[in-house]
Amino acid sequence: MATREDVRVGSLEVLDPVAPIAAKTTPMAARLRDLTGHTIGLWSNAKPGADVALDEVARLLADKFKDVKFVRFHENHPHGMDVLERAAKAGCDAIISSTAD
Amino acid sequence: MAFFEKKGIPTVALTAKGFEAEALATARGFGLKRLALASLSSALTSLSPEDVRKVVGVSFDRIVEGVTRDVEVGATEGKATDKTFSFEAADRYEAVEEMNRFFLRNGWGDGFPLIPPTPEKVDRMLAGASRSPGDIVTVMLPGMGEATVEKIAINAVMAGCLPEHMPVIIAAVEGMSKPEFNMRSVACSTGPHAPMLIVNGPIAKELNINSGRGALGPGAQSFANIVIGRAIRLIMMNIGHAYVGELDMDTIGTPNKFSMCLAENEDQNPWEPFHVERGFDRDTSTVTVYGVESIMEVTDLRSYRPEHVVMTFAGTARNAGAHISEWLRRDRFWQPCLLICPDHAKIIHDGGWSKQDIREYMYHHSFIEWRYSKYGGTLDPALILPSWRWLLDAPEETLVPIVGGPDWFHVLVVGGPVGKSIYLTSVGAPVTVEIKR
Repeated sequence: MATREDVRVGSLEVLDPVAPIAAKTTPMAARLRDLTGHTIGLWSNAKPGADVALDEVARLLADKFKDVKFVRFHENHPHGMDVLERAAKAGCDAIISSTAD
Repeated sequence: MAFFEKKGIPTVALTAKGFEAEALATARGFGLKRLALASLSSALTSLSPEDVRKVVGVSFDRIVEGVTRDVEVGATEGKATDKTFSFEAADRYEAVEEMNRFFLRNGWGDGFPLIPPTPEKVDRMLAGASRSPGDIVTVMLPGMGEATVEKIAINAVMAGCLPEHMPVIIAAVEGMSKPEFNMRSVACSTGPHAPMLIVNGPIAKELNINSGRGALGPGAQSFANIVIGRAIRLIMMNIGHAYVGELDMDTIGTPNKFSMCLAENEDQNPWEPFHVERGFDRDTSTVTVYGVESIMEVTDLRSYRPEHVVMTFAGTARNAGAHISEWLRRDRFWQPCLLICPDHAKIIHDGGWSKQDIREYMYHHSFIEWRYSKYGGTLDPALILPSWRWLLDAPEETLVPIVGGPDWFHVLVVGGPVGKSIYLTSVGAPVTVEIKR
């Protein structure tokens, strides 16, 4: 920080307005090698188009992988933590999400 | 999706072109450095089901890869640096201009000139707060920045605030952290949403927060309103990381986002003030934060009977462009508000009406035909509250209420002379917080 003696006519020192992100870095989950026989959570925020998209994803996955199962979740409120908890406890091996944008 | 990744469940997010930065910034806020994205050629909204399926089909391989291959695409690092910045120029004025150019290049401003947050000015601003500089008021959605009192003070200086404004700003930041405020929608939505601050109690007059003529407008009489509201926007950007195109995905935008702060006109409110209605003492100072969707003028210079004035309000509220059908699927997702001017308030009160009478009348006279809310029959029955699913087979001329009940309407008295009120729609519930000094 500049002392008063350092301050010249055309100098200006200011503080950073940007806040650091509070969260500690977390690693990503290990990926699956194959979706065969796995349970896939299909998660949408219920925006128009999101559920149609996930229906199509399910159809294409079922064509490509054997015995794949699906569980659907709708976040019907922006703070639907209960839906997230339910999805995590539903035995899903992977989650595919759509927010329509 | 960070929630699931932390639990060891791999995820992939279908993400439209133009929204990748938002997805990555959201992930970063929750501690994920990377995110599996399956980019789509367009948003899925406003498409026919057939077109949605086509868009998904093109990206199907990326969707599968998202949960079966290690993710190579990383989120960019955050902008937080926690430094000081120095500028040298021929004179101090040019140095200030250089600082402004630098801040704008980094996205740290709202476009108007910023007051330099020098250490000396920030120290003076901090003297206006009763809390320590390092206290974390909240971890601020949507980007999850640490809202320390010091960072709040830096942004308040930039907005042009005075030290005595700090307690209002800190209380507003606390209020915006409550779930019912719905910060993610207010900050990130593709809709033109902005927080409005409503100040009640003695502090409003002490700080000259305008409650009368032009309270939401420009001018010297609204100086405190303007700079406090501006500080909230800069805080949302630099602490909440709600930068346009990153975590603020607004389609068109709104001037409401620059600043939106007022005081209730308690002197000319014939009923109890808003904060008293919400359980506070009249002498307690409070700030209410409220996610505003849009504002509409209610002109009525002719009526002199309560039922006629409130009928004009109800007519204004019959507006399908707002989130009217949202409440059919999300209980209390939006709660409209009347900013009633003193002239209208006097007519209504002198006619013997209470605020609850206004709410009841508004509710029963603002029904609209179902055709305006049904979006061509595309609503998914599973997403509608069970008690309203019968509407999906109802005739288009069926009249539907615009909210779930009379008490969803809020009533405030604001403004100067003449019969011009305002009707507001919202994207969340108002949250009222005591201002501690």
